[in-house]
Amino acid sequence: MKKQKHPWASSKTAAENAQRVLPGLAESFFQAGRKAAGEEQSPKALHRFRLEVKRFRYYLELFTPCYGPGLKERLNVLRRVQDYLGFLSDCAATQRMLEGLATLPAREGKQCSAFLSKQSVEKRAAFVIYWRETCDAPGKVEWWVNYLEHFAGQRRATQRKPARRPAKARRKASGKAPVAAPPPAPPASTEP
Amino acid sequence: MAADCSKQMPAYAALQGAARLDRLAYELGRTGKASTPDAVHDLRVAIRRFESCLRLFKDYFPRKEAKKIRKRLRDLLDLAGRVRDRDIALDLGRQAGMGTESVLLRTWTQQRKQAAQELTLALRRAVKNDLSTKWRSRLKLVKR
Repeated sequence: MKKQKHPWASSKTAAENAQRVLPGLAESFFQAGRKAAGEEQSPKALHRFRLEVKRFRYYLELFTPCYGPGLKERLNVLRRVQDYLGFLSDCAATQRMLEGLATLPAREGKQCSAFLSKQSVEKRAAFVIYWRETCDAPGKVEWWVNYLEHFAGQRRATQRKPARRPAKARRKASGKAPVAAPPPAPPASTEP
Repeated sequence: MAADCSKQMPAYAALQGAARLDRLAYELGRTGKASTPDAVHDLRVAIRRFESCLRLFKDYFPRKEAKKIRKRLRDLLDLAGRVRDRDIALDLGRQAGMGTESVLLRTWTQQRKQAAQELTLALRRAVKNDLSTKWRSRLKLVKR
């Protein structure tokens, strides 16, 4: 994902800006992910992608008020990717710390190092599988892009309840005694 | 918050900035009191979220002030990162089968203690100087 300039249109609403800018960020996310989970899979490429995922997630979170529950679902996907990549980064950082220690019993160093290497290999493989089979499965790019493009600003519309007259006025109109309010209906949502 | 999305961008950016700064102010105080692994992690997340907001909506914040604040945030992030690195290393070391008597874990525990002291000092200074209120005023954010 290249560093992008975000030409916000100041006179437009946040939702309109989200519709315009976020789909492009999603497309860049997929490009970077394919590179990282592709043939290369070098620690450097994975590290770069981890930072990009983190940035993308924080950017999306800034627009949470503009979207409904569908965004949370998508953010969970990013969180899962971050978990895999974060663990790889933790292993690499710990390995560096291990190498930075001047005095250490050789047995302990070897034991820890072997554990970190094994975990890294397993997690990298798990990430690649998750990326290919879930995150970047057929139709997923559209699932992201269409959502970000078409569902910004609809949260309010889907969750708003119809305006009601005050309870006192309703009772007066129907001539009934006060009754307990019925449980609120779940909000209708047309989000994918 | 749902109604926020119908605001124009400058107002929306200010609202998001204020929300993230509120959260950061809370985490600065919390971690300054006790730098537990969870508190340090949450502080780092709050810093990154606020920093992302400043970066993404940079057109809507005073440039020089935002730059200075981001530099200060990076310094705090570095200090918190040193503690966090040790927390992770200790966790992985235990998973690797190291016992409490191991030289490795004892070394990292000692390093963690030292890094946490430095972080606590910086955070208490930030709270004492009422950094979040100053930043709010410099970024021209309204109190939510």
